[in-house]
Amino acid sequence: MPDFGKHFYVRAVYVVALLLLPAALLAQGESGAEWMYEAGKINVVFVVVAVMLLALLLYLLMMDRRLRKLENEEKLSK
Amino acid sequence: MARNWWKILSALLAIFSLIAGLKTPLAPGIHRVSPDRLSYGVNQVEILGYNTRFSEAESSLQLWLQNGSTSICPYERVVVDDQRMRVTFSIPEKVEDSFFHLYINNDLDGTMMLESAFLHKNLTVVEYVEKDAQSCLQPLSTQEAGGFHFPNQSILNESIRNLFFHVPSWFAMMFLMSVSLFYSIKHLRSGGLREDVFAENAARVGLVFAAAGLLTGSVWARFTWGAWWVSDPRLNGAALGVLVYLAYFVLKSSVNDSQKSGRLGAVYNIFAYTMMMLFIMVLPRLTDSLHPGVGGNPAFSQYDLDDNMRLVFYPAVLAWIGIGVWIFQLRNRMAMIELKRNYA
Repeated sequence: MPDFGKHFYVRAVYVVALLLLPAALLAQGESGAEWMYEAGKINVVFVVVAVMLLALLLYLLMMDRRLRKLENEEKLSK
Repeated sequence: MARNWWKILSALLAIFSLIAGLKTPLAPGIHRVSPDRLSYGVNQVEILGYNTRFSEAESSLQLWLQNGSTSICPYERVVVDDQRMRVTFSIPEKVEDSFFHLYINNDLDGTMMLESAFLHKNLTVVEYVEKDAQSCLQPLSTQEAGGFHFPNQSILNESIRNLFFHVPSWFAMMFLMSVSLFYSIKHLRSGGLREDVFAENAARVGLVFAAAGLLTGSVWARFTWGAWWVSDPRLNGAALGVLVYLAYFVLKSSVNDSQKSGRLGAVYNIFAYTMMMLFIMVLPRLTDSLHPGVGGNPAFSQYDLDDNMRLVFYPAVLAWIGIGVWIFQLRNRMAMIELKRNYA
């Protein structure tokens, strides 16, 4: 059985940390977050869409790395 | 191509929900009033509208306050521009309610209402007030605003559009967890390694959507409820559901024997699925909370999701489920190559 679960939590922690980064930056004091309330809070929507896409893109990146590893192993065995 | 139609469909639906979800304007609404307290006598207030056309529709403009059963009409009204008016009210000494609801009505914007727009200041609240000359006999009629738009709710405002991204993310997560459960049961029946891998992959992609759901929810909560996380049955339930699934991966990776880990994982998955359903779907409905869809009311009432929003919301749900299944299948195809290599 290949080690499917290996380092999964470590990676999960990284992913969560990366996704929380924009939020953490926004949280720098009340004054920094005022732009989120402008124009009927439309910027909240943009941040939410960005987080959604970022989450999927990060997962794609993880899959990409795994595929790369697989391809390299394939090359080595030939 | 014939086999990929649903992937293209999902992508198109996602693009549709993104464009329609962001481009559709909000219904006209009352954004803010200042000051928001009324005292005895003459009060001048400024009213700020959102997407309104006060000056364009000035000829048909009506405006009144509702306090208990009394309507109070302004005795002076100056429309500054489409978004602003200055209004003067004469408030009696005795009122029926401590809150004044504000109604604005015109032919272009329809009827707009700001609930509890004003609080009273040093007024006497009594059971019943004799109607005198100051109260007026409006509302005459309420009307709908024309055009295709989303509801304009106070506090939520434009962020109501998050519904098309935050909620479908959870729907996709639920769907993928159900797929995971399906393969876990299949694995228990057949003992095949393939099903076990599929079950794990589905749960993994499901967790990606759960993470997206938690984070988007957190951002949304910060700017509507005022905190990144509120102690709310629905939120805590979702977090627990995610933890239960994280434990699934811990359990699976801690057993080296593939047959044993498959069996254990599958049994735990059934448990995890049940727990998640309880935490997300059942327990939050039993108590009150800030979150819609809680306290007995499903989030699909006309106040949370109107017909125009449904037109965008359901395609978004299909889109994200489709994209989730797509990623799940890619993941499976990779895993099958790995599986073959390791057993070759």
